Amino acid sequence: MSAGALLEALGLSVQAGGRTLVHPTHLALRPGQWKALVGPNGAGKTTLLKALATLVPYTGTVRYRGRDVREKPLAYRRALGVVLHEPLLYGELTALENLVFYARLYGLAAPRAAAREKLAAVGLEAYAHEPVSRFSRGMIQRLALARALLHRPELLLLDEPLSGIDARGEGLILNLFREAKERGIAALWVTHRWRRAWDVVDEVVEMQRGTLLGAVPTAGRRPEEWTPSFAEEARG
Amino acid sequence: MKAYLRAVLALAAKDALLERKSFETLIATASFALLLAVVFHFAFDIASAEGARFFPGALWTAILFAGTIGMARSARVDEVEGRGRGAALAPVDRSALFLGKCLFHLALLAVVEAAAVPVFAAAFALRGMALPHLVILGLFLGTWGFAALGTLLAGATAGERATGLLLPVVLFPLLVPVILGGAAVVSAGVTGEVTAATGSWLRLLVVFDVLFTAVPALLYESLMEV
Amino acid sequence: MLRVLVRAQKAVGLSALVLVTVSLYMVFVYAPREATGDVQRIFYYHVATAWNGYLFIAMVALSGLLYLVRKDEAWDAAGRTAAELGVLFISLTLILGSLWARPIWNVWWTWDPRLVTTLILWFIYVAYLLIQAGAEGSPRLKRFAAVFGIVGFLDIPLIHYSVVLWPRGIHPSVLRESGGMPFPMLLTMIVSVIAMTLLGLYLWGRRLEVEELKQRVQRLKEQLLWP
Repeated sequence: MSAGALLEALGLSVQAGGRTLVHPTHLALRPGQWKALVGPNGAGKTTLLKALATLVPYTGTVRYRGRDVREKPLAYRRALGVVLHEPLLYGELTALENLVFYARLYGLAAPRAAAREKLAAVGLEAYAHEPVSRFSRGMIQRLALARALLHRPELLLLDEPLSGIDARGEGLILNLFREAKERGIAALWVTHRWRRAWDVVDEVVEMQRGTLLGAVPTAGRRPEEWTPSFAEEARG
Repeated sequence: MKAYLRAVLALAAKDALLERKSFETLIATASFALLLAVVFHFAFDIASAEGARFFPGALWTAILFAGTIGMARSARVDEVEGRGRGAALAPVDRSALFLGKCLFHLALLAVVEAAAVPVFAAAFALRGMALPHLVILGLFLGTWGFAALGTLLAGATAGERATGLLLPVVLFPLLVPVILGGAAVVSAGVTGEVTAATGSWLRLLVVFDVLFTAVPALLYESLMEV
Repeated sequence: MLRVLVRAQKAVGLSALVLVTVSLYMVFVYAPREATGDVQRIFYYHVATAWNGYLFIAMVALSGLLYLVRKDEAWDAAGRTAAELGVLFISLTLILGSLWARPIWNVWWTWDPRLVTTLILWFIYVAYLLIQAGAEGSPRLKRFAAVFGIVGFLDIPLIHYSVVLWPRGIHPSVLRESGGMPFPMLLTMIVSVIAMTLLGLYLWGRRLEVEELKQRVQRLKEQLLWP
């Protein structure tokens, strides 16, 4: 399909228990491009994201830098940073222990240093030795983001990374996103609150009942000028 | 290969670290094994002359019962909020998740056995062991096979409602070679009566261990997705 | 392969009917009365059910492997139904063996290696059915059942070897047939085994058809509920 795409989904679909959760879908991300995926609950956004993260069996093809990710799954997973609804953190361990574990798992050269650096980047260095179970939802979300960025991925898959986060934390995370984007990291960002994402993403893609409806570029437009079709449906 | 081994060790170390926070699994597993020594002592009314005959079977029964509980618990650690998936995202073959867990279970069971063997020896009035090395070898080979199959089945049933019920029922029939082989080798080690059969038992245990470490490692990826 | 079994079930069923009738005649009339008496005639069906038990257990493992590779629900149904038949035939084997052992060995049960292996096998595949019983709608448990079927199958030779090696409390292997059988007995045995295999395949085909229908009903329901 499009030349120079970082990530491409070609006819990707997901079935579970005899139901089709995601109908054959085409989606492409260029290097450094950010797309928001919006839609009502149950539209299949999270399932699509999990399929792209190779966590859910899918049919069709996912290509990373032009290559089917099934051929080189490890190289693909190395390039991938994922924030799911579940934080993927061990509550009994401290913030630092969690990150050091993931740094070792990813085979980073200096696990402890990398963990401390990312902890500082999300503003949690003061809580390095606190068990994660004592964290607020917002702190957990920031730590989950630190975990996803730990190995310097090229592509972020984000599922509602701003949920449960207070205003200060949100500003911090949006800044992190802008930085990541400047460094050339691409992202697919699943969210309900597209207005918050508007300034960061290049395009907003709408999804409903397992199907992508269409994409709206954000450049030169204000979020108020756009209404997704599901919102109209809800109003009508 | 080096990265793979490092990931296996990181996963096992993570489980060990979680365990060190409370020692819950270890305490529950070890105390159940020790409790069984006392129960067996009274239930079978062991006279000192018969001690050596019943010691290997009783010891293995306790290891299997207690170990099954321990592994079921430890497998559930990764099910909380689906956090075990974090490791599935790492750039390492997913068989490492199995081997890391298996390694941790092996260490856990080794600690339990280190406590259980002397207590069982006392409960069964054992007057020393003729070949302690053979006892340790038998325990190690048997425990390895037990840990491998136990890790596979405990991991697969961990997220389900009936885990506690299902695990022993599915695990124990498959473990017959480990139970018989482990008991036979430990028995030979206690009495010092090493025969040609002892060699066959050791070979059988090695085949079992290698087979049921390799096959689950191959199948783990397809088992764990979703 | 599964399709063929469902499509050809009429032919399989008819030939099973014919051969089972023939084998009944051969077992009770054609085969000579052996020294141990008429009770020996159980042996023909004992062998036939045992063979079928192992055949369907192998099918469980094969279906499991294909399910893991192809992720096709049909192979999950194949494994599940094969295990049902496997457990049925192993149960029959144990019962027939016990009926035969009572007059011949004067016991209902003995710890002969072959008997013990068969009994453990029965436990393994009952466990498999327990996993499958809770697996409705859970792809993860279905895959677990597939893995369990494969692992259980690979374990059989090791279990048998370990039971043979176990020195205490087990009778010498009495079941070993000494030398050759007279030709009429051998022929009766072969015909019985083939007849029982055809009957087993026929039952499997019917059972698979039921599963297919169930899935169709499920799909229709979903089309109505999730248009």
